[in-house]
Amino acid sequence: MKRVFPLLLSILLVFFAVGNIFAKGAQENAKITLRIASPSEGPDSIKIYDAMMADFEKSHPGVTVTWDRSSGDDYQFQGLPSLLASDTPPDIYFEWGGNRVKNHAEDGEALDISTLANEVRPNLVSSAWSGAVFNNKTYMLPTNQDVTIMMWYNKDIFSKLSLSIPKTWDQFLSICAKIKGAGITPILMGNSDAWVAGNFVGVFLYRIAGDDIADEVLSLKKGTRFNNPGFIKAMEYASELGKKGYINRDLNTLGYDPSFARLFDNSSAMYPLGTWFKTEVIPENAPDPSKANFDFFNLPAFPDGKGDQTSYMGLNNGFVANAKTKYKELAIEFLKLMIDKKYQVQFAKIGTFSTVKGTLDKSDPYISKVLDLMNSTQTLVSPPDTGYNLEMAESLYAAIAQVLVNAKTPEAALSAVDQKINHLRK
Amino acid sequence: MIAKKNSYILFALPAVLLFLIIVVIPLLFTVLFSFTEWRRFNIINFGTMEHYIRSTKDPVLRKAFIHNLIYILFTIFLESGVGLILAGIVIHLRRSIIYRSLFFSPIILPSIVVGVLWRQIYAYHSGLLNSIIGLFGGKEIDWLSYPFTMLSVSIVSGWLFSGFFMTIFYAGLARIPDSIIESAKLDGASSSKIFLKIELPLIKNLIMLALLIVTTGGFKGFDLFQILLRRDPMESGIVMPVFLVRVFFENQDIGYGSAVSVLLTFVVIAIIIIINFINKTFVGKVEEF
Repeated sequence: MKRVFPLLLSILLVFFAVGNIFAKGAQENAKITLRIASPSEGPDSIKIYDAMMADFEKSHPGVTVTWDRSSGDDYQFQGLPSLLASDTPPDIYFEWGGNRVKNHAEDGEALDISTLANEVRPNLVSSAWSGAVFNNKTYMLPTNQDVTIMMWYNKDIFSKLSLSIPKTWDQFLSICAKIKGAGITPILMGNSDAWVAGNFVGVFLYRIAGDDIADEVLSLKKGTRFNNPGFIKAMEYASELGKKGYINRDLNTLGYDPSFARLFDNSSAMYPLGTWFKTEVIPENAPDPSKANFDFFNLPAFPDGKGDQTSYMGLNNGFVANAKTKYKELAIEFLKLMIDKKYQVQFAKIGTFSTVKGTLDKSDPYISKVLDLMNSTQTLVSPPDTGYNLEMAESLYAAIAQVLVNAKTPEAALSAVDQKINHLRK
Repeated sequence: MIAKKNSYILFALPAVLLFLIIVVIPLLFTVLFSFTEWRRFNIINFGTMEHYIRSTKDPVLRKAFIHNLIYILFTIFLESGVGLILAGIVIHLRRSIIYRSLFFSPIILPSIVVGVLWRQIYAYHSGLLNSIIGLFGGKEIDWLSYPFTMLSVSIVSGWLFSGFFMTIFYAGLARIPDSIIESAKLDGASSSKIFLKIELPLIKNLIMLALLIVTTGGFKGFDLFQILLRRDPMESGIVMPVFLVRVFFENQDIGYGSAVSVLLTFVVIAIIIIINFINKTFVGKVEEF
């Protein structure tokens, strides 16, 4: 008995010691919170992300994943910059590919994920990496692609008025006239956040001034001016839409979300918006999403345009790992999980254009039509507010907003842009 | 003995320290930052005057400043002017507490509620105002767009704060002895004459105080503009605080934002000095009752 007691005591001590080590390890892990930030998304997308987070937490005991979501506009302008400057910055954050990712890389807020990119490259479509790579280093893992501007139209109204899809600008004006004649607003925009009309007329700038010239002006290349003949012409086209009453007069005071009520009550016929119209706008705003009868067409060709008249405005979206994260390996692992086919197939099913190969159901007419639009051109142009300097984009969008309601002439509005962004050209 | 003599310092110390930490030190930092070049939230250069030079040429800053002055002019009438008229009316009413509570009540509402409520009133499509105009056969007006933006926001501001100024003026009017009013009435003065010739001069110090609050407060108006106008794509209602938020947080231009803040501080101080000068030179002291 005398010998057994010390033995039992030793076993107990070893048991406690080992238990303590494990408990300490679990405690340390329990302190790990992987923070992710993104703009708000539709309920179907959130469900998939929730499953992703649950799976990650399951495979990483002690790690908690939190997801901070704010409305797209708030996230873009104030939410993300404030989060990144805070004491608890996100470890992973959503970004729109292009100039914004480049800025994060230059500011030391984006982790070089080239190794991960090389590893997953065979699984992703080749066009996915545009806007994610700078100086031969990859800073964003592209998860999906968006067409930013396509003209969504109410098929019932078009069929009732016997309208067909316009191929030229004149045909487009002609259908607008017919729609207006029927007492319906031809083009609806909720532009109180400035970017809807900004992106819409942004397409005009590329198509009319020429893709390269527009890119140079928007990139603030030395010697370029906004008040140039191509941009003036493009703004004149926009102004014409406003003058003829083809756009809702209150576009600049109408909110993005409230605007959809006037689309789904059949009082407006068209809305220029991106692919998320299908995945977010209809499910969240249509009274009965299954009865929302909408289709889209790419903007028609301008008669005297110098740019590619088949171009489309779009971008790659993805997630960036924060270079300042304490949990670089975990962040990389989570990024890798994000492009797992298991989830991306589900995203593709709800209409997201996943960058992962083999996820899109090409037999789906909608998906097939969007892919046709993407493949029908060599020219992908960037939205001014994500592809270029944000301050410049804001000034340009103000000019567009003023021209559409004819508060300023195209020359005066563009000249004001030159004046406003003069300090950025230095 | 010495300790007792200087004990007041101990009493003043917490307040002085708090003032230093909350006001003076941030102000000094702002001045310092205004001479600094920033790359987002990181300092890259010190000793530049560029931000001040840029401020003289910035058309948006000019626009925001002019809008602020317009807002202040409108609110002088819509907040303090209407408040004065309400006080003049309410003081003569029986059970004035009911009316005072009613007029004061908007101020207790959160700005977001006020903003959303008035967005519905101003809505172009089926908003309350345009529906009324429609009843009389009028054409819809985009109230929150150019050229109505500043007037529309100022009206909301007036609706919100006139009750507050009414309370200040009411307190002043209530302190005027009844004997003065009674003797004026015996001399045959009408109610409007009593108000204009007796009551108003006796509360002129309060009017100057209201002017000071409206003028300096006008440069701080942010929430209503943000909620009512959202991003205000036409910049038809951009004011200094909104401009500064965009410069600081969206453009992350700390140096330029600091320079504009410093200039704005000087403008507000100058306005306070001018109002105090007017107060001392033209208004003078009012007899206490």
